[in-house]
Order: sequence, then structure tokens, then C-alpha cells
Amino acid sequence: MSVELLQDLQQEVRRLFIAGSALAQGDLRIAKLQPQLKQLGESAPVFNRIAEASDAVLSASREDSAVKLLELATLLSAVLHTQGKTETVGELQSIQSESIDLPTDMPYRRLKPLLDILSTKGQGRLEQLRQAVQDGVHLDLRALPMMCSALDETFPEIAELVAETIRTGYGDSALPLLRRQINLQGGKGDARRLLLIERLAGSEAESLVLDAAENGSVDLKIAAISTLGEYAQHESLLLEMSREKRKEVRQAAFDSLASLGTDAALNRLFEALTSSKDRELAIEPIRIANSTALIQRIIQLAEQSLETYMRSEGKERGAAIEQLNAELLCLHGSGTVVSNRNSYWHRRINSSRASEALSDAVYAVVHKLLTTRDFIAPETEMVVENAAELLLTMNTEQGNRLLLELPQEKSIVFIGFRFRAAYRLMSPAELFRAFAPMLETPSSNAARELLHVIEQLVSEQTDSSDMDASTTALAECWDSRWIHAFVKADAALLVTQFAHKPDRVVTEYLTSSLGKNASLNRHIDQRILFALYRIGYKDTPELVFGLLERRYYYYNDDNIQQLIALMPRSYIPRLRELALKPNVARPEELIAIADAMEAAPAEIIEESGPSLWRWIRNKLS
Amino acid sequence: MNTITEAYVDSLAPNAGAIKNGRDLVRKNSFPVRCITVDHTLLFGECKGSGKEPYRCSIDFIQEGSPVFRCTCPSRQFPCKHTLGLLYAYASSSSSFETSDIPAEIADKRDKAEKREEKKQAVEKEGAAKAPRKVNKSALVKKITAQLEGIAILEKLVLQVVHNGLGSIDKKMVQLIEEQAKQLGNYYIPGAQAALRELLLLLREDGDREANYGYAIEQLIYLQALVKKSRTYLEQRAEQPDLPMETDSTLEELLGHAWQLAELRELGRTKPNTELLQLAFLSYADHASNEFVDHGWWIDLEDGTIRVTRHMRPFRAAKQMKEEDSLFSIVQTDELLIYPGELNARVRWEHARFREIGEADYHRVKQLAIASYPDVIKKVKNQIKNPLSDKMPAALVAFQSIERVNDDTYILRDAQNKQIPLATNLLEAPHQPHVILGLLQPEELRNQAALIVFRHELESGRLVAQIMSIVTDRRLIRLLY
Repeated sequence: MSVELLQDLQQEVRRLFIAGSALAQGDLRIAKLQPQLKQLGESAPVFNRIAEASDAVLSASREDSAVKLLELATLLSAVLHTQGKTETVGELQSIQSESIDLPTDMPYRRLKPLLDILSTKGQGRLEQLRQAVQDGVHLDLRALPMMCSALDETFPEIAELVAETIRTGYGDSALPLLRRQINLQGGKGDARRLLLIERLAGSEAESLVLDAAENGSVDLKIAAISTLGEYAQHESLLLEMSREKRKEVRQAAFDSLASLGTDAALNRLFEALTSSKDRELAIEPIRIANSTALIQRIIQLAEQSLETYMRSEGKERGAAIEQLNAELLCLHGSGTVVSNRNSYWHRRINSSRASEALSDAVYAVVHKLLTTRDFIAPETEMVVENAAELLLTMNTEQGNRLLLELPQEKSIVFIGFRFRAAYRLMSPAELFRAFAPMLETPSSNAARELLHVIEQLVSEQTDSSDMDASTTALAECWDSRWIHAFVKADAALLVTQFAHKPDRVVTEYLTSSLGKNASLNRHIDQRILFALYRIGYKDTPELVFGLLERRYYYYNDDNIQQLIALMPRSYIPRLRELALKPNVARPEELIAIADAMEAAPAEIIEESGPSLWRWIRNKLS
Repeated sequence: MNTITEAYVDSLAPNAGAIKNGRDLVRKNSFPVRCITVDHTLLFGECKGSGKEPYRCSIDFIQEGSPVFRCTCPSRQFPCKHTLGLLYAYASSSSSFETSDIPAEIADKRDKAEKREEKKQAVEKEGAAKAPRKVNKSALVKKITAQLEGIAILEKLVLQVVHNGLGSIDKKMVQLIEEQAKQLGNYYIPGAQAALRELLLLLREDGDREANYGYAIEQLIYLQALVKKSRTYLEQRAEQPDLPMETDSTLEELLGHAWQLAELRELGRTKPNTELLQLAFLSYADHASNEFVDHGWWIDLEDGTIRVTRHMRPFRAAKQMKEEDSLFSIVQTDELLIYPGELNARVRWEHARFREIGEADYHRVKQLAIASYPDVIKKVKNQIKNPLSDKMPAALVAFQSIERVNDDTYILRDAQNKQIPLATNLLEAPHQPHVILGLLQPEELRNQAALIVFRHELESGRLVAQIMSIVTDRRLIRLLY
């Protein structure tokens, strides 16, 4: 059966459908095919019928052309549908089967949403993916390839979750696909693949990892290098990588050298510390290495850098100070972040075991620093702070004494260090005498800094979260006169934290601090009310109720619940009445609180205070 | 009572949201009270709610194939998330259920339901004694006349498009056709209307209209064939309204008739005692008829016929309708209703029981697979050569091996080394079936059976197939859903 002829005719018919049957009359190209059709028709009748149908198209009038063309097309289509080829010429090859042991038992309604998450972009997919993984939807053979492809996701959190899921959910089963997919010249997705392969295949992946480290793209190099810190046999490769042109690669190499911890590795880190190019990169690796020998050398280096600084002038001075600063930073623990003073809240100081082992030597160099004449100056601010932080972390008596002697007049920041040191060394009364006078000019920078430090200390002392508005400073640790100093300095937050017993001045201050715009939603107002309760101000419940009446709240806030729960039982009916008012947003929450208060057993009420609150909170959750 | 598995509960849920909520409830330990009656016909319990009182829910299996869900929650959905949750709880730890007596209120409800059922059956018996529904002749003729008018409108449109040519179709023309399609809604031929909308979808593709010309031409051929055949049929019926409806072909359904189960019964199109195993499932949106379609492919364990279930959910009403899903149990029904159809007729059932699939069932399925490719290809070509036929018939075929040719083409090979070429673009899914083939066990690619769906590829002139599932001696591997 001459299918090609029919396919040729099909092409012409298609052309006419596009151009319009109105133009079909006498079409030359169809006419050309007629003789062949008729010839074949001699042996196969269907060709005759097709030839007749084509004739009809050629000779149709404009009005009939559409019908005739459709007839031809229908006949042709029917015939061609019976001529579909099913054999393919060529060599047969078997399909490689990886024998992954996963079922295909997920129903459509659960599987499709997961596959959609993995194949589309858009918001909200992270949470949906997390839920799907938690439900085990990914444990289906059909999800495996798409999960592995999803390592290339642009949203890093999704990609990380995918990596984690592949590791824990599929394990070795994913290896064949990962190996097939990985491209050593790829980007972050392929870097994740490499890490997964290394994690899952262990030593079997060595040649791939080495290939990536030496010949891969930057992302692949970094990933490969990060896995090489386990075995000494890769030392020379790591040393080589630590001299690569790209900074990120050198950083990765330093990190791994730190894990390796061999002599040659530590020497390289020391060398890096002394070069202005790699100084910054070497700091964290040195901390991680935690080697007392290395730290010892760095301490000696610091002493030299100090001398260099004192001797030099101009540009050299600037370089020396940077060098000295880097050396000091090495003495802190891993993960330490000493940023700009203005962002104190982002500061994180960790201690280093190596430095602690060498605490005398550390003290010695810091002592030299801080007592060298004229060293403490605006240009050396950073270094001095770092040194002070070191002393603070190490918390030795001699270190604290040295801190106390910091010249406050040279920098406001020293107030904080001095105060913390003094807090450790002095008695509460001594501490008060030494520092309270600063608060007498409450608007001065010094006073503000002092209040700031005290707030931090108090917050560090209390165990609970910042959100709890009822926390207080530990009364035993502080002189009782502080609170009046705070009142005079209008430091409302501290007043609330230091209010333990009845006091007319304090009460007056607190009640007047509850301004016109007081609200149970404002943290400071919550604190004031807790403090008033604590010192026994009898009108506190009425104050709280007044604020409740003023507007609606979301009553499932711990602080608000507690403030209400502290009211005497006589308030319970008034609370129920309030819940019925129209502007209350969630009356059932308010009623629940009233119910819990009412249901409290007598013994608990007698104890009152924290145990009553715990009982009520339990009931409400 | 059937064994209650997670998959069974999934199948009862109306949609994915209910599944999630039901599971969440179990996870959060919201069922402090869980009971089961001694005779295992009732599961009941209490679920913590957001109010003061817990919700009381129960699942009644007194009629095995159709469980009754009852719950005191205000939700209008049945089964609600509380009953589903209770079922999930049972599926995962039946031992945590206390044996207990049936609560009085449920016993009451059962009584009432029984009485209602008895009354209904009495009425039905009475009704059955009467003659079958009388057809209102004049109304029917009126309807047929309208249908013929609609057909005429359609024909005029088709001829106009062919006359002017596909290349000439501009925005204005598309709008015109759209309006006409809307108009056809008044002529009782929704099936033809949907077919016209299909053509519109092909023409409206702003992207690559050229690529669609082939399909557009096929659709025009289809429309013209529909016009011709229905005109003959309808004219016949207009003259003799007493003639029964056509069931040798799918013409009625193509015009848009929705067969009622009562009609199918009257026509004797039922099969008793049937066991069906679902081999594949797919759900998709049909933008031509504006509905979601839940499509299942099943094999009749008795004679190997491949049956199809098609559950339509119009977009507008979709939320209220139950979504179907992949099913991992064997369906047993006393009455299988069979629609007029071709190789894969559509079926439905009203009552069903479920049983677990065993290895014996997989053996049976493999036995039923068609061994010779020339045989099945002949059958397929015989069907698809007809312009009005289902162009994507499915079949269960045995294969000696799944292999590659020339690096990029996958094929099935039968015991006589005949081939069927494989494609992956006939049914849409985000995952790649051929990648998954490479992950199977080597023996699963040899001497097994496959459910495949055929289509004639216009551009290449090949008859290709897509594998939906592979049946081995031990399991069913779903490459689709």
C-alpha cells in the first residue's frame, strides 16, 4: 500500500483547508497526483474511491467545495488511520533498570499535589511540601525523579528541604538518579547533589568528589572541598585549593583544613592570618581548629603587632591595627560575631576552649594592650572593644579588675564593660554607690548607656522569654535603692522590673506612667500593671478592668490572660457582663477565662500568685 | 464489615481537604471516645470540637456496600472530617476501640432508616408493575426538530470555516464561532456544542496555531461526520418517535444525551456479579464542556474487557461533588451498568463491595492480556478509522520485553517480536513515565502485561501507545496515577 502517496495527498488537503476550499477548484498539485492514484486503484479499490473524491474536489463549484473537500479529507483520514506504522527499524537495546524499591501506591489526590509543588513556581509551596513529606507522600516511585530534580530549585529553603528528604526518605535509592543528573559544571543544585552523593555513598564517591574539587565549577568546588576535611590523605589537595584564585574556594579550603587539624593545615592557617588577602577568611577556621599551639603562636603574633603599631606611622598604622584586630578575633570562640557597636543586639560572643586553656597568656597580651600609653584612642576603638569582650568572656578576677579600670571618659562603651565587671566584683551596695551617681543627669549619654546595660543584665538574669511581661530582677542581687534612682531617671521598664514591695513613690510613678493611650496590648503597660499587682496597689484590678472596657482584645495572649486572672473573684461576674458587650471580638475567650477563674479550687486560690496562674493557664490551653 | 484500610477511607472522602482534616484530627488525638459494636457493624465515638460539647459521630455498616455517616457537627459534607477521622483512627489502631453496645439514638435511626427503605421498596414494586415510562410523543418530536435545527446551524458553520480556510480565521471569526457555540445551547445538543468548543480551543491558541492545524482538520472532519450521521438518525426518529434510542453506536452520547441508569436497565445493558480491578486513573479539566473528569480504566476479571468509568463534575458545581481517586481494592458489584460504547465502554454501578487484591488476581489479569500485537492493532485500527469513534482506545497487552530502539524510541515487544512504539505525550502528567521505567526491577520489564492507550500520530503516520500501568505477578505498577 503506497502510504507515501496518500501522505502527499494529505499534505495538499491540509494546504487547502488552511487556504480555504473556495480555492480548491482545479488545484494543480492535487491534479498531479491523480494519475498515480488511478493506477494504484487498479489493484486496490480504496485508491479508486480516493481518486474519485479528489476529482470531486477538483471539479466542485465554490458552493460545493467545502462539502467535497470534507468528504475527501474524511476518506483519506480513515484510510491513513488504518496504515499507522508500528515497527521501528533499528537495533534493540535493553533498558537499564536500577531496581529501586519503592511502590506506586499513592492515590492521585495525594500524589498530584506533591508533583505540582515540584513542577511549578509560586508562593506557599514550602509549607505544602513540608506537610506532604510529613505525610509520606514522597515515598512513591513516581515522585523520586522529580524530587531529585527539585534540588535545582531557586528557593533555597525548598531546595534544602528536598535535600534533607532525599537523604532521610530515599537514602541509597536516590543514588542512581543523582549520579545520572549531576553536572560538575553546574550551580547550587548540583553542589547539593554532590553533597548528597558523598553523604550516601561515602568512600565510593571519592573519585567524583576529587574530580569536582579539581575540575568543577566554583559551586561544585566549594561543595567538594567541604567534604575533604575528614581524611589526612587529602591534605595536599586542600593546601592547593587554599591558594586558588577565587575567594569562596579558598574559604572552603580553610574551613576543611581547620577540620583536618594537621600540622601542615594549621601552619597554612597561620600563614593565611598574616596575609592581608586571606586574613579575614582565616579567622573562623582558626577558631574552629581549637588548637592551643596555634592560639599560642597567635598571641605572640599579637604582641608583635602591638609593637609594630606603636612604632609605625600613617598608612602602616592602619594596616597594623587591622592585623591586630584579626588576631584578637581569633581568640574568641567559633561563631562569635562582633559587629558594629550600634547593633549590639546582633552581637554574639562565644568562648574558646583553647583560649581558656591559655587564659594567663591571653590576659597578659590584653593587659599590655590596655595599659600601653595612648593605645586607647578612637582609631583603636574596635580592637579595644574586642579585647574587653575577651576579658568579659573569660571572667577571671584579674580580668574583671582590669576592665573596671577602663577609662570611661575615653568611650561611652566602656561604661558597659566596667559595670559588668563591677557587678561581678562588688557587693550590691558598693555597686550602687559606684554607679548610681551617673543617673543623676538622666539625659546624659553616660546615664543612657548605663540604663541600657542594666536592662541587658536583668534580661540575661531572667530565664523566661522577652515576651513575658511579669519578669523581675532578682531582688537579692541588687541594692534596694536602685528603684528610686530609676524613678528619678524616668526609666519605666527598669522600675517595673525592680518593683518588689509597696512604695508610695514607686506607685505614684507607675500609675502616672500609664498614660492616656495605655492599652493592654502595649508591652510597657502590661509590665506596669504586673508591677502594680506585685507591690500590692489595691486599685490595680480596677485599672485593668478599665482598659478592658475601653476596647476589644485578642484574649489568648498570655500576658493579658494573666493580668485578668490576677483579679479577685468579685470581678468574675463583671467579666461575664463585659463579654456580652457588642464590641468584644472574641467573647468566648473572655468567658473561658472567667470560667477558669471560677473553677479554681479553694486551696489554689489561697496560695494565689504563680500557682494560681499556672492552674488557670493549664485550664485554658 | 470490610477491612478498613487507609486507602479505603481515602476513597470515601469527598475531596483532598477532607482527607487532610480527617488525618489532622487523629494526629491531634481528638478522639477520646472510640467504640465498636460487638457485631462490628457500627463504629462510633466522640470528637473534641471547638465548642463545649464534643461531636458525636458514627459510621454504620449495617448495609455493607453503603456505609451511613452520622455526625452532630454542623458541616453539610458527608462524610465530614470527624467521621473520616474516626475511620482513620480505626484503620491505624483498631485495638484502641472499645467494644460497646449500640447507643440508643443510633439504634433509633437505624429503625427509621429500615422503615423508610421498606416503604420505598413497596412503592417501587408498585411502580414496576406499571408499564415503563410513557414517552410524550409531541414533546419528543419538538425536541428532535430543535436538534435538527441545531445540527443545521453547526453544519453551516463548519462549511463556512472550511470554505474560507483556517488561515483566514481572525479574532472576529473566533468571536462569531463563540457566539454560535453559545447559541447551540438552546438546541438540546450539548455534545455537539462541546465538540464545537473543542474546535474553538484549537483555533484560539495564540501561540502555535500552525501546529494545531492538523488537529483542527480532524475536528472539522469529526464535526461533519457528526452532522451527517445525526441528521439521518434524527430524521428517522422524527418520523417514528416510538423507535428505541440508538445503542449500537455512541451517537446519542456524542449528541449529548446523558444515559439514565433506568434507561440502561430497560435496555438490558447490565451485567451481574462483576469483579473489576482498577488499572489506572486520571483526572483532568475539560475546557470544552467546562467540567472536571475523573477517568478510571478497569479490567473485568471475568472476561478481560477493559471498562472505563467517567465521572463528570461541572466546574460550577465541582465543590459539592465527590472527587474520585485511584482505587487499590477490587470492586464487586451485583449489577454493572454498561453504556453504549466501543472497545472500552463506559460503566457505572450503584452498590459495590470492596475486597483486597491478592497475587491470584494479578495472575488472572496477566492471563487476560492480549498476547498478539497484530490482533490488538487490527481491532484498534478498525475502531479509529471511523471518524466518530473514540480515538484513544485502551487495551491490556502482554509483552515479552520493553526495550529501546535507536537510543530514543521505547517499544513494547510481544512473543512474536512484533512491536508497538511508545509515546509519553498522549496523557498529561508532570512526571516522566519512561524515567520511571528505568527505576524498576529488571524482571518487571520482561514477560508482564501493560495497560496501554493508543493513538494515531498524524505527523509521523505511526500508531503509538502510552503505558499507563504494568501488571506483574506481584504488583501493579502505576506509571500514570
